[in-house]
Amino acid sequence: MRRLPSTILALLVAACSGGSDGQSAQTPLPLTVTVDRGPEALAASGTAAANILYATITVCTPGSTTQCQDVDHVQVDTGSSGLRLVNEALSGMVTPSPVLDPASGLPISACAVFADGYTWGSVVKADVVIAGRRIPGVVLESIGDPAAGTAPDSCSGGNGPNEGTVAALGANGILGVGLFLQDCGPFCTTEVPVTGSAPYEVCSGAGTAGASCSPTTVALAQQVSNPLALLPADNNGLQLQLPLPTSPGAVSVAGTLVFGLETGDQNRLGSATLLPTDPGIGTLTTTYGGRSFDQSVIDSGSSAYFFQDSSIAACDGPGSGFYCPTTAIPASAMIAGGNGAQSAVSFTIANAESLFRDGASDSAFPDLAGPFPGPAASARTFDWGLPFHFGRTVSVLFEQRTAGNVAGPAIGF
Amino acid sequence: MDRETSCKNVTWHRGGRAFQLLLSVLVLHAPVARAALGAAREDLARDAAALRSSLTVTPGSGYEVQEMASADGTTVRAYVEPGGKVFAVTWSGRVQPDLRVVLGEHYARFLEAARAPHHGHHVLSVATPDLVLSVVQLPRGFSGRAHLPSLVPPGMAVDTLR
Repeated sequence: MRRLPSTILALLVAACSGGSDGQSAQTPLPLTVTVDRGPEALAASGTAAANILYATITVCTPGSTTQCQDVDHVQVDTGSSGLRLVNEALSGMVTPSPVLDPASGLPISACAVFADGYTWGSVVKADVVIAGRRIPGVVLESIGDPAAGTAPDSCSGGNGPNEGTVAALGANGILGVGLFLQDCGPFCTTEVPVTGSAPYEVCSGAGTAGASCSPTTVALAQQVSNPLALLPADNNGLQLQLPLPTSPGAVSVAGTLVFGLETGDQNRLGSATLLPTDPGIGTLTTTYGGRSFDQSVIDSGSSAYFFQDSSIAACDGPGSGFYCPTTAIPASAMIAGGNGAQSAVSFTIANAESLFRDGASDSAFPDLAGPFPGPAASARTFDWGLPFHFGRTVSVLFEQRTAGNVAGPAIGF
Repeated sequence: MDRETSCKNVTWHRGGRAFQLLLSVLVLHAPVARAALGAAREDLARDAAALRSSLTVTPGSGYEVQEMASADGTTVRAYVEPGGKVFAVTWSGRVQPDLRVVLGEHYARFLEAARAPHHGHHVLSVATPDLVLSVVQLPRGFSGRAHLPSLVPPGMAVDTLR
């Protein structure tokens, strides 16, 4: 009974900070997001980005409002959680503080594994400013930080190439604002993986020839975290709104990322249905071509619609990794959440080689699609990448948060 | 522990309908083996040891499946053709298994594809006449599959492989 008044008080405070009082009545600014050809260092390496979504954020020394730096071309990724900045893109103006393993007192290092490589860096804390909103003490990965030294074999072995440069990453960093609050979560608080690389290691003598690293468990508060879930308000999710570029492509596209979901008039769900994802791995189920893909994702960090359909010709040559049908194919699918709720999708599969040839100076391709080559019966993922987001508002509800009567993790559109 | 010692842990259960091979490989400091895809059935015990995984054999029609499962929830399946060679592998779990072990000598092809210009980091694929490979990164997890078309058992529709 004693808890009731404080609960009511908390609700009142939450309601006020949501924008109903005089101080915060004006609609908070969204984050401007863009699809363009990528950061300078990528262009310098002779390549240009395609269907990669970027934003500029500010990073500051903890507690400082003067030791700050804008970082442009940070990839906005709803398919992962946690901020990672390439050390090469930092000017030295900012001094993040290392995050230490409480047991050994040693700094924690991060080994982030992707489908096409890995990054190795220091786990550090910094204040992050996104669209004018300051988020103090964000735990992030400083990729390629000299203090972390060279990746040990336990991280570099068997995970592909090192992507710890701006040119290799195609971005100055990754802003992971996906379904989960941390990159690894409860798994890493108790488990040290044995079949592959652990997301976290502690190293003695890091940066020296005699460095010795071993995998470690890490408490949630010290894991690389989704910064938007750490906002003081509007922290239950986001809405990503991108205009639809005209086919076959556009030189660039600008849209917005709105903080929060159903926290104000700026982020209403409208007619969108929130589809709960698998709470463990963040997946939905897609039905396409009479087949079910039970590990499907909606992911701004993927550059195309990726799915297996052996009846569509795959490109070889310049469009390698994408589909090359003779003429564009109209297609449709259903996407379902864990509770059976579902939404229909229509999309177009264009010839990637033509797109890249005719749109040589373009960076946004709404009809880009590619295969997951392999046996059809074992294909479980339909990846609704960035093209899915063009011309839509996609809502992401974080785990352990709610919007209306829906509990996250969930995605709606 | 070397491979010969590991093999002493193998116990065979031959029944009327099927036989099951259960290997309890709990070796903590096995050397990194580089075998699975394209290697011989006999090498899989070493791979399971390298991945700190148990190994279970399920006979199928036309091929057998050797499944490696580890305490961290990662599963690697190796598909063995009647001649005893691994013609396909699939994997899934919270962490990506060491692909040097899973892809064996074909790991170099994965590296080559990963280094070639492409867009985004959540998907990687190779589709060539001699190697087919897809790797997917989920919000929290990984899955992948690879096969060698030249080793697919004659008469088998590879699309039916689960």
